[in-house]
Amino acid sequence: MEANFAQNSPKLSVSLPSSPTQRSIFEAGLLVVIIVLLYFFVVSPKKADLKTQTAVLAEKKEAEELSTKNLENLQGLVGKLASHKAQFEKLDESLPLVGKTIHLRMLVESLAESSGVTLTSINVTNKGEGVVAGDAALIANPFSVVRELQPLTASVTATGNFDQLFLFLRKIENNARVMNLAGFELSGQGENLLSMKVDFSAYFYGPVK
Amino acid sequence: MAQINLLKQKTIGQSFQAVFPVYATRFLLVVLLVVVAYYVWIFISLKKTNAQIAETEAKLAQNQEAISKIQDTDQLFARQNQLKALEGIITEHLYWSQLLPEVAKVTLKRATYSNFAIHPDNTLSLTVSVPNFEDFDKFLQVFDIPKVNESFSEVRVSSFHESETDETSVVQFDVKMKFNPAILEYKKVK
Repeated sequence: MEANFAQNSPKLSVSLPSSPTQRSIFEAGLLVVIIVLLYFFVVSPKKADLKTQTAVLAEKKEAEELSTKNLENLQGLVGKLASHKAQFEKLDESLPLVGKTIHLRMLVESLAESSGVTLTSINVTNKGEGVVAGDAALIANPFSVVRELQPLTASVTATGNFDQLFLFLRKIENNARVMNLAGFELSGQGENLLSMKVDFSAYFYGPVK
Repeated sequence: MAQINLLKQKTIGQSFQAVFPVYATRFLLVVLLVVVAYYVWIFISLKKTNAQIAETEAKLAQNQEAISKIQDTDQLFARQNQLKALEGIITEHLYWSQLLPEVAKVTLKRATYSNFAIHPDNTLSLTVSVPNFEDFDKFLQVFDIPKVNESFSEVRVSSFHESETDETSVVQFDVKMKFNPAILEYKKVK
């Protein structure tokens, strides 16, 4: 028995436009679809990527420029450190890096002596005073520790005549170590003798406890 | 009367209909090529941008490493902060001694002070002695003068009494007043 394939097989037919005009219209429509799909699903996401990356690049470049500038500044400033020792000595005199109460006491005593007044009482306190010597970490690298401005409070009573006490007061105010007055009292003690009580704060830029 | 050649018009219309789809297809083909070219350009630009980002990041890391390797940066930062802190306390620094000459300027010659206190709230307390009540009144009147009032104001007498010592009478009183804080600010010595 022979099978007649030619007769039984279904005819495969695609209905393509027959005339050239219709074909062109079909091609144009197809192209529009391709262009739209290509733009929205391929080009557009890539374009968004480019936009994002361009913004990232601008940000990074700005950071890099700043970092280069900082590096140059830092190199310049570190280079100047060694040549400004005298200025640092003055800075340390005005705002010491250590808050030893004994230093302030000695300073006040020397000011009193040079003014001719007699100190009847002197009280210097540092609320956060901890280790005052022999701090190994601080000795190894005195600048690597975190520091902050801290006050020392002092209350001083001195006797003398008006001129001497006035001079003493001026010396406290104008001293290279900054001392800010918080209270001042002057009272008579007898013939030409006055008693002066001053409360003030001196500061140091010490390690945070 | 003008004649209209309808036959010819029909021929033009037909040829336009036949040609337009062909040109439209060609035009769309050009658009497609432009879109593809645009994609290629974006692709290349993205690659370049990514390369530039990597290069910039490397340079940034290099700078940061160079910064971390600089010695004495700790000292530099500590010194900068120390200086900043000093500037802060200097701006708050007041010259209380400047108040004494100002008080002396407005004090009667016959008045003497036995107590003198300056308080942080910009007030001044005085214990004053004058020979009589007339001088007591004069002492207070001074503070009504506008120029004096600019420096010292709101004078209050908290207590007063008269006492006699060695045939001389003295009127003693306690005074509290406000002073102008500008007096305590730094004045350049001329």
